[in-house]
Amino acid sequence: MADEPKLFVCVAPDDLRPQVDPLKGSVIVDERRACLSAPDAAAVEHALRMGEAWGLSVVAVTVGPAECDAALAEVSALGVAVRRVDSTRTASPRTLTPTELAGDPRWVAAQLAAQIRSAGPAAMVLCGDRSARHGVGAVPGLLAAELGMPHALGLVEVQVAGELALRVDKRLDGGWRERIAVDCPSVLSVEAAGVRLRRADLGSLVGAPPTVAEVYRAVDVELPGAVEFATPGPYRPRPLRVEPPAGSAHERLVALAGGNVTLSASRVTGPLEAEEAAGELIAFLSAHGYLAGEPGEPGGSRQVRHKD
Amino acid sequence: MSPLSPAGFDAVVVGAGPAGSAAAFALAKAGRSVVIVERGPYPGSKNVYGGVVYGRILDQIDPEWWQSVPVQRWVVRRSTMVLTSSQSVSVDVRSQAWGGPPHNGMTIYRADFDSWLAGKAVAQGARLVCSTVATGLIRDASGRVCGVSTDRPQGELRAKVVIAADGVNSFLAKSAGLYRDSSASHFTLGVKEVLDMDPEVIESRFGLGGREGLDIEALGATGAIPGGGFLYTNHDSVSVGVVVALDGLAASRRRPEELVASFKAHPSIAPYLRNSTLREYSAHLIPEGGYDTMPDLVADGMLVAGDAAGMTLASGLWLEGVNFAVGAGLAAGRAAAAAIEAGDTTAQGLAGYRRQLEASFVLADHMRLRRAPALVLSDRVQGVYNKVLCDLAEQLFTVDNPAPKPGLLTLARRSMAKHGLKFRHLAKDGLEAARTFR
Repeated sequence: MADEPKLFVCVAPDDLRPQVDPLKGSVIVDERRACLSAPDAAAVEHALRMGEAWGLSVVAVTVGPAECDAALAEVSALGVAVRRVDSTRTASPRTLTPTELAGDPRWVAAQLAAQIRSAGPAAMVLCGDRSARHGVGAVPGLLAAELGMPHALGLVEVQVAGELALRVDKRLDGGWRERIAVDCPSVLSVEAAGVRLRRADLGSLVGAPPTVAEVYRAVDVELPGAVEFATPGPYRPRPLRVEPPAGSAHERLVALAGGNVTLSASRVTGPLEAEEAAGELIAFLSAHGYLAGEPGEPGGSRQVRHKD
Repeated sequence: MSPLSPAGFDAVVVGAGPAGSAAAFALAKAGRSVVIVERGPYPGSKNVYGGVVYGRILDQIDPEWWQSVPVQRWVVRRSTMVLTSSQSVSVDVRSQAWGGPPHNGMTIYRADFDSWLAGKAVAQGARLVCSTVATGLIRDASGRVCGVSTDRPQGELRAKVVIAADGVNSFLAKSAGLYRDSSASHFTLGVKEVLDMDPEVIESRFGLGGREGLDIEALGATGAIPGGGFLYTNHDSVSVGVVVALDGLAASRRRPEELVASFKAHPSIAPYLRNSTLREYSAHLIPEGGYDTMPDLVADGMLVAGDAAGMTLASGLWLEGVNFAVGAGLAAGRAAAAAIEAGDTTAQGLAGYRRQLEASFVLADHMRLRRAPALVLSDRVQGVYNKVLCDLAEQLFTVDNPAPKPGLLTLARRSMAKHGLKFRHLAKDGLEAARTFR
């Protein structure tokens, strides 16, 4: 039913354990290992619970290559319809370019929004708070802007509070929580907290069709001012300029051995009165260059400087 | 083809390794409904093996398999090395014919190869279910195996035949009571490092070109512990490691990574590995006991194939596993399909599996070489002959003028005496070798 409200859950299956080339710093992903991140799995579980409570169907939407389908098969076996915007890459495993690595969250959000609009009215849109694709959590916010919906982020608990109404706990700094009421439709960014995605039963997995996802081509999106990424190089610390040492090697050896220092014999001056003793000490320090001025000059006896 | 439903498949194959995928391929090709249950997220994900695969058995799956198989390098050099701590003697065989179709050996990564092979089975109509662990066997009232239970909700899969291809130390074969003896002495431990190396460096350092590869097998690389070392080239990496007898390793109280480090530091190996970077370290049990340690291969409603049946061939000269697993899997699939067709999946109905294996290289080679594992892992082969041979070769090529060159027999006697090797030992082991490799 196209007009019936649906629950949408946006997921980004990816290799959660990519290799990083220690020399080049490039990220090597194996898309056969693509699976849902913990926040995405939590989002799917929340969507399923809402669907059960409100009697709504759940649709998963993703942007990714065909290798995502294996991870989506598990979601499909849970009774979730799957729509995938194809972004097929070359043979796996392979090295991601910086642009691919970061993606452009505006482009991803625009693709997801297009799918959500075409699949029917959204009762709620759930996302993991950030993807494993170098995500910073920008897509849910941009998606909310695209769809013109309010956005609740940093959610650690989501509870059904009535017909198309939720009560959610939002994480705040310092261990605080904020409990807010959320009405439909909204975009929710959930964290991997409190819930674990149920496992699909074997019958659903075995009985699933070989192709689980409806595959769509990406829509054209204008992205003015998109960030350009330069090719990363290996880590090269900025060079530190070190001046060559002064003097010849012989002079430096003599200086290190203390050969240029005129030593004076120790002298016993006392016992003295306190004032005389202080005067002796100040005179000694002045004679050896530890005091800036002569005793009695303004600030002279207080301006102690350290000898290098 | 029968409908796909968990209530009743023709066959369930546990494990999407070479044996399991080959069995599923044969069943699906025969028009039978078959599901493969794989515990990893994709076929090959749990495998750490990566080595030389002899691909001619794949002719039975894809006549032009070499065009699509995910190969690292085609092996054109096979070097057998005998080592002491400071010496080595090598027999190096090179054939450019191995570099072209139908090829001989190839180095592969199992994660790639298993996915490729499982894809062949799926393309034939097999159903692949990943991230699912088979936790036990289901039996009917008569005790016949009629399915497997898994760790998923409503996770029972019923089938006319279960093929256990769940790898070394098979849980299912043990559950079925097919292992008469699973002593640790039947197993070895393979320990491997994958080292990153530029393809051009590999080619120049090992004398290779294009996609050509090298396989080195080394005897005497593991000190007092029975075993051997290996080194082979991948496209942009080199795999190096040791295989050691499990009980010998335990008795030595040495760490496996120490043995790999020691092998890598050997003067004949270290120059090959200069400036390489460690990418991966892994270890895995290998069933090298041979024919005499194989479990029963058939039970009522169940077949065992591949490493689960101890089918790795470790005979010293030949070290093969994947081709034996594929061969056994194909035989298991065909025998199961025939038994289902005949309506008799009891052990008697499935007995064609063993007959097929005996008629093929799988059991024929194992039966012929059944004495090899004990000979290869014996104390003298592991710790004396390598020293005698290396000393003999060293003295033979040492020019010690003005003294005249000694005779070969004199040198052999001198070397044998130095290492306590008697002629009766030589005769006894020679006779045993002749009987083994006849």
